Amino acid sequence: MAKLLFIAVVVLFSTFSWTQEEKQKTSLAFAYHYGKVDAFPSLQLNGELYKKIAFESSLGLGFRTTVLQGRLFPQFSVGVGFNVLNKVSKNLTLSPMISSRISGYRLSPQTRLSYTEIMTGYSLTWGNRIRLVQSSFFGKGWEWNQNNEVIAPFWTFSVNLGIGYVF
Amino acid sequence: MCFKYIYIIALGMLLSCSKSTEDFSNVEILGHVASGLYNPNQFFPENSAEAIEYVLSFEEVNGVELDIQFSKDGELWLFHDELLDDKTNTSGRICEKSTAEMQAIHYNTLNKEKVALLSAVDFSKANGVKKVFLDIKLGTCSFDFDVFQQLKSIFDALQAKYSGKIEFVFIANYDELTALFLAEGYTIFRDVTSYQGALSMLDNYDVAGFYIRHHQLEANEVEQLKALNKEVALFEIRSPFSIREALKKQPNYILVEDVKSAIIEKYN
Repeated sequence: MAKLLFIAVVVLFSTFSWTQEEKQKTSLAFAYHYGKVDAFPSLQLNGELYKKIAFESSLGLGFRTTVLQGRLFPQFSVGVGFNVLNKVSKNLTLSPMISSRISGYRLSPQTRLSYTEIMTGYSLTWGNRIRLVQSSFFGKGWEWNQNNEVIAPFWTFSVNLGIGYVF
Repeated sequence: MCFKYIYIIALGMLLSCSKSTEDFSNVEILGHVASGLYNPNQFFPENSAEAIEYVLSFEEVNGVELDIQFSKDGELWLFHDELLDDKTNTSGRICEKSTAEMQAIHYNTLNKEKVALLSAVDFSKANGVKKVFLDIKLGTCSFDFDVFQQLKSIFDALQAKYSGKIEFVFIANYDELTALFLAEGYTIFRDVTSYQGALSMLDNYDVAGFYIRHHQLEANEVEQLKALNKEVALFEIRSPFSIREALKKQPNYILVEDVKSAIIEKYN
């Protein structure tokens, strides 16, 4: 047990030392989020809030509901994490992350559905000028039917892939 | 080239946003196996008590279609497939299991929802008056009880318990059962594969309506069956596009995999 703890501390301090060099630049990407409630083509920001604190935020529209069915279904997500792998080759970061997203749409004239999701996962970015972003999350979600006041819990996930430009 | 694609996408979005001028208020939405069999967006497994409660909580949903199978001691369980192998923590057929064995079976999901016993499902939480279509699946087992009498006693108990709240409709795809249930005055539907098949069925049995795949029946054939005072339920409706196409045929019911997509299309 003590050995494992020692190894964990060494690894943690090693990753700290990798992340000390400089702040990761912000990128704006076009990303495709495939999730439980819909698939969301999104605009996504990736960057660092403060030193090793990574963030990921996106605004998207549900593809099936908005494009195929003509019902506006926006989703906003925000995630924060910790860069555990940075500056190994100056253009690769890996961050375990907690992500939260809210979305909703009008189902019928009398019913509106709202979704809240909280997930955990990782975010990976790669590239100096043109940046590839990939993240995956898994967690819990709640659907709130505002007509009958029913809240339905569900397991949720999101797999995201995007390409963007570094500012 | 790029502008051409942008134009096509923009046009598609505009067309999808246009409101339908047709009135689909007479078409009722039923959840196939409650939450859908081929629905990646479903929150609960098909035919589960959780899925039934969730789907019937929607004001816009008119009912659910469920599959019923006997365990070897004569209880009715809700399950779609003949074999339990693919979707649960056990293998074999329901008709080979006792009630005690069935009570230990759950779906292979994170929440491990139980395979539901029909008599234990609480339909009283439904949001308004709903319809429950029960598809009788006898499988390949032989039973040491009178199947018709056992079905009748369970159905009568259900109808008495939920009188005025739930309307039960039975899908009996067995000639002998169809005849016995019709003689007792039950509302019976039959699966058919064509308009001609429906007419042939009417030569033998005066059933209340037909279950038929969406692509196997044209709009004029739906109209003709309705003119004969028979109800039409279309199934195998998966995508938003096929929901739209099925609604345009103006059947009495559409059995859909995704009730939320169907509600959007109906009220668009």
